[in-house]
Amino acid sequence: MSSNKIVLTSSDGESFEVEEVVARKLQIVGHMIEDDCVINEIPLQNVTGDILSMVIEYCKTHVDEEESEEAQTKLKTWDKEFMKKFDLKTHLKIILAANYLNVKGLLDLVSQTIADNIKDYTPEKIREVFGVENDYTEEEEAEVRKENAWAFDEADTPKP
Amino acid sequence: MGAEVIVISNSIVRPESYSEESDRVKIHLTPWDLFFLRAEYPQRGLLFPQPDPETRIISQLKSSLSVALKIFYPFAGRLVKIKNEDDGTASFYVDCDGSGVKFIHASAKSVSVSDVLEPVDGNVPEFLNRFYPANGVTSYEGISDSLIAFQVTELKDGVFIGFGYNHMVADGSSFWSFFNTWSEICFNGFDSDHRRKFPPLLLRGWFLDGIEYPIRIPMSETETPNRVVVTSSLIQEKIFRVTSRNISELKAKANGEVSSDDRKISSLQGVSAFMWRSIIRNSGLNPEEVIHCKLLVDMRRRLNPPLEKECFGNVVGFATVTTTVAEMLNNGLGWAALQINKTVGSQTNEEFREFAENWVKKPSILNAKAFSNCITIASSPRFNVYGNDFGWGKPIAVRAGPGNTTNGKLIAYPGIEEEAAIDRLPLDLLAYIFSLVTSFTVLGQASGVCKKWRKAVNQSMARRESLSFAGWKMDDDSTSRLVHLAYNLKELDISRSRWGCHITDNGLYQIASARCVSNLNSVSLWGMTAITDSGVVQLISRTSSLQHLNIGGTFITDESLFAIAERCHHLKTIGMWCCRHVTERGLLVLVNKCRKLESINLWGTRVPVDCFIALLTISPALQIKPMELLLNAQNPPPLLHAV
Repeated sequence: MSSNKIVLTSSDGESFEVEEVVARKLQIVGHMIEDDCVINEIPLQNVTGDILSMVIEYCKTHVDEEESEEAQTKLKTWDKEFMKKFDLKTHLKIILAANYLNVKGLLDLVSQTIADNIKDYTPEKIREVFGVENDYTEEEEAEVRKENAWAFDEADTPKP
Repeated sequence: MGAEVIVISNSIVRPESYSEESDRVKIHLTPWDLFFLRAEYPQRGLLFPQPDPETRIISQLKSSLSVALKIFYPFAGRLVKIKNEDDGTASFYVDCDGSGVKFIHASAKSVSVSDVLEPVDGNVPEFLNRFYPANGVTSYEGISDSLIAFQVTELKDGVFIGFGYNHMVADGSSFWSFFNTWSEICFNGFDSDHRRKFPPLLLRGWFLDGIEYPIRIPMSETETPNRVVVTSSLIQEKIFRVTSRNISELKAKANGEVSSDDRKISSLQGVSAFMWRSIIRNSGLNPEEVIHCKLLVDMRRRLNPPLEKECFGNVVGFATVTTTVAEMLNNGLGWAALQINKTVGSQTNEEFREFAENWVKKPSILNAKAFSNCITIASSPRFNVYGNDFGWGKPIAVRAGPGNTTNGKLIAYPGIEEEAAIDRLPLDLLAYIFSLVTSFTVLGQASGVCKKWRKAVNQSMARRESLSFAGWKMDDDSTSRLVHLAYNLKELDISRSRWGCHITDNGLYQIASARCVSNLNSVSLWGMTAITDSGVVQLISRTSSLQHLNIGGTFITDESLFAIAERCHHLKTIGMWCCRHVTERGLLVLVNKCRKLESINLWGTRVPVDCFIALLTISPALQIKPMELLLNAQNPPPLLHAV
């Protein structure tokens, strides 16, 4: 196996030297290698150093995915712990990076993490945390609420 | 860089349908307002992406501005100075006379968005100063100048909206509330049909008991107003980006250095302390020199009784931290942050009233001396800056102009990546996240967040191959709406698994017209007592790919079975638990036509054992449940005889 080193540079100028096998986990890099347009340093425009280092950490851990059940379970536990280290805002940055760098496994992992966490927030809280603006008019908002009313009927009350 | 800025037009925008009778209000000024008499108009600017060339942004901006000024009428007024001949003093008030506001349309086609966004070494380029109106105008000049002014500069590949406003009329919080309203009006269309009703502007009223208005100021203080800043052209503006990671680290570090009772230092206080310390460390000031840090504090909720949060006007006070260079340098980040925290915390109703009472006795107007050896922290990372979409995209950046700046002024704004992160999530990525959410309650909540989220939730339906409404209180319309969105659906489970779930033939008719129906390979209608053959036949007429069907616990008859036999040639399994109205006739047709059928569940039906044997004759490999009925064919269990 080749132990070529490749240097990945973040948008804010931080450089990371990684094994080619690790770099290939970033499919955007993999395609560049295949297209022979790699010299030895790859600038990654849309990702900052702090986020890139997390992506690399993930890729290093997942570099040789063994088939055995034991190895898989171990990886899953690692994934869980890895995600626990970051808050929602960081998760959002990681998902954007994973999407841009095309790291399928990480994209799935962060998506699932956000999907699992989002349940703990009301729309008001979500708007606050994510800085999203409520662009509904009052009528529209009432309509959306009505449309989804069934999903909020929690009590399982038997008919008399 | 020699960027040429050409003024294309210069106009005044007046509030729409101004009424002298109802709109001509007088606003009296408080000591905090008059304190700013010589201050320059604060200037801010937003950088926007390039609008569609078809969009006539100037006329749209002006029309919507006119509507917004009708609501925020004080901005369209003028300052009035009264000379009190009896004691040689002057008084001021704002006359909401509908005079209007300055609006400049300019062009700088040699400047691109990246020139503004990526200044060399973080230094804001000099040409940006020409993107702001009202350069150097002071509050006092509001007598003849408009109280707010705009300049829209078209760049090579974007638009810059610069503005300056009179700080005696509004503070940052009121200003952004106005700006948010304006952009919303422009975005939604400003003809009266599309317009949302905005609540009337809440004015603060006179909240200073015991102080008479209008306040009198010695004429000498007002006649030759010196500019607070005469050196603004010598000041270099620089942008510092503080990442959220750095912010949380600074906050944690600051709180970690103070005793547990004091661990209430905010992010902004942590960052402010860090900046202050860095500036002082590199200032070359002597250790014994006295230094200050001034923070603008919103007083609305600190007053007693408090003013409403959205109350319009200038309601900010200064909180000043004072120390010496030596003390600052002998202590750490936590200490400096704590001084800021405590000073902000000490701004109480009593402090404010005392300031006002003293001020009236001896009016003092903000001047340049107040800012020596001082850093000032203005604006707020909480202002809604990036939500201002006029219809051609959200702002890319916010900048501050040269007005009302002093050496050591820090203007804090949210970073775009922080607050707008989720908005930058492409719709399909958001939809992907939602496709992993299993709870309809969570999806319902997400739909309620904003239009984009709702769109993403709807789109996430299209990613699903399987939908189960088991456990949900479904009705016809909701079920059908979701099935219609789920283009790629393969498995549909609308079985009745709880009380209150009510789906009728009408729901089945609606579902039958969904695009995914012809691709469904599994459907469960288990336990749906309100449906009849009519609905089932309609649905089945389109489910030509169906392999698994559970129709147990319903009141269907042979008629449904005929339709299934006719349509579902790929059927492998069918459940008819307790379908008491199906007969041998229907079953024979079904098994005859559906040659791929592997398994059939007839538990609780009333068909006789003879029928089972007949079915097996047609299809010997067919698994019939309950099998024991066949094994015990000689001694049929009582169930078969039960009515």
